[in-house]
Amino acid sequence: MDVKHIAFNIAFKDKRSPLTYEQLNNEQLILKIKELSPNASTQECLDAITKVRKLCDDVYEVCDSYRDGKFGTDPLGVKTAIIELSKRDPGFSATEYDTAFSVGLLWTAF
Amino acid sequence: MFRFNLNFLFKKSTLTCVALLSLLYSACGSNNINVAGTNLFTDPATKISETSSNAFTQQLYSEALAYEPLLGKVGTRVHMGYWSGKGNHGDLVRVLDAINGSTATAGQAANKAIWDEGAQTSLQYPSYIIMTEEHWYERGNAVSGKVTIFGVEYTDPFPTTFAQADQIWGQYSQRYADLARTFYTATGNVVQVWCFVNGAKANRIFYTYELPELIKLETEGVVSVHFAKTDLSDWTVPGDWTDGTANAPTPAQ
Repeated sequence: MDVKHIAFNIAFKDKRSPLTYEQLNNEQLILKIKELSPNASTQECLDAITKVRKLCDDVYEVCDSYRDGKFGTDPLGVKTAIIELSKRDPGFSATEYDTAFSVGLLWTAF
Repeated sequence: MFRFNLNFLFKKSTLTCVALLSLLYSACGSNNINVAGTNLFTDPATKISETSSNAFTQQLYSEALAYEPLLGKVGTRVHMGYWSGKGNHGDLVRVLDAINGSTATAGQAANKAIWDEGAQTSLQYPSYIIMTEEHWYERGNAVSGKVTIFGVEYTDPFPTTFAQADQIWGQYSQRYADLARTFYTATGNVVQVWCFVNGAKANRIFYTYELPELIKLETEGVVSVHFAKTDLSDWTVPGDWTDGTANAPTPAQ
């Protein structure tokens, strides 16, 4: 698994608790990634963390907007919201956008 | 997640009982079908009923005590955390960790902090883990009964609405709030409640489920509620907090 996917999973999959990236600083996240990918360079890890941090921010905003009805409430609304996410943060897979959106709905529920 | 459960089954005998009870509880009481090891397709109507009951609060209490027995000891000062809105989660974690890291001096009772996810900030209640494995929001956004979880498509045997997903998480949080009564009875101390909710919206769980419950608990004399004035509010500095549910921050629109 590449470094970006590991960084993604730390945020959205390994622990469904909200916002791991709010709790951990870059150094702590780099250590976590290197535990799973010992050969990853620090710069690689940092690049991935930066991308996922931005994705986390955007997920929060998009899911918040979705909850406020800005994308509509039917299944098309979900699709539109996920497209918005993919436009803001290109480079992730379709499955990752779906997962991030669902996790974001939990973050924004509280 | 299943591997995690196995690890602690072998390491912590007390937690073994809690984990097994929780799994049994969920399997027998919720009509669950464990499709892929970590996905539980609980009937939402059953879950709504479960999370409405005092038994659910007692379940959370047992799970909290299994992690931290001092939470049920006479004299312990119990603290409960709440957060809502972007950026507030990490601030609450900082305060809870500071409370749990504080050292009681001779003759003083211990301070122990929990939140809706678990005891301390790293040990999640088995009931919370089950909630996440039930994937309510994926199910609440199913299209034609098809649910996609981590890229795999399932047919949901109990179709769930988005509103039900919100209600289930809301009621879970309400039962978490009710834990204060049990701690109050067990310890003899008013429970201290710390809230990071600046910027939170009115239609989210804090304002719709948790705050109404905190108002009741405050009226009963069970809790003392504090709202953080800033991201850096320190639990040992009274001036960092606004006290009382009547002074809760105005929700964001």
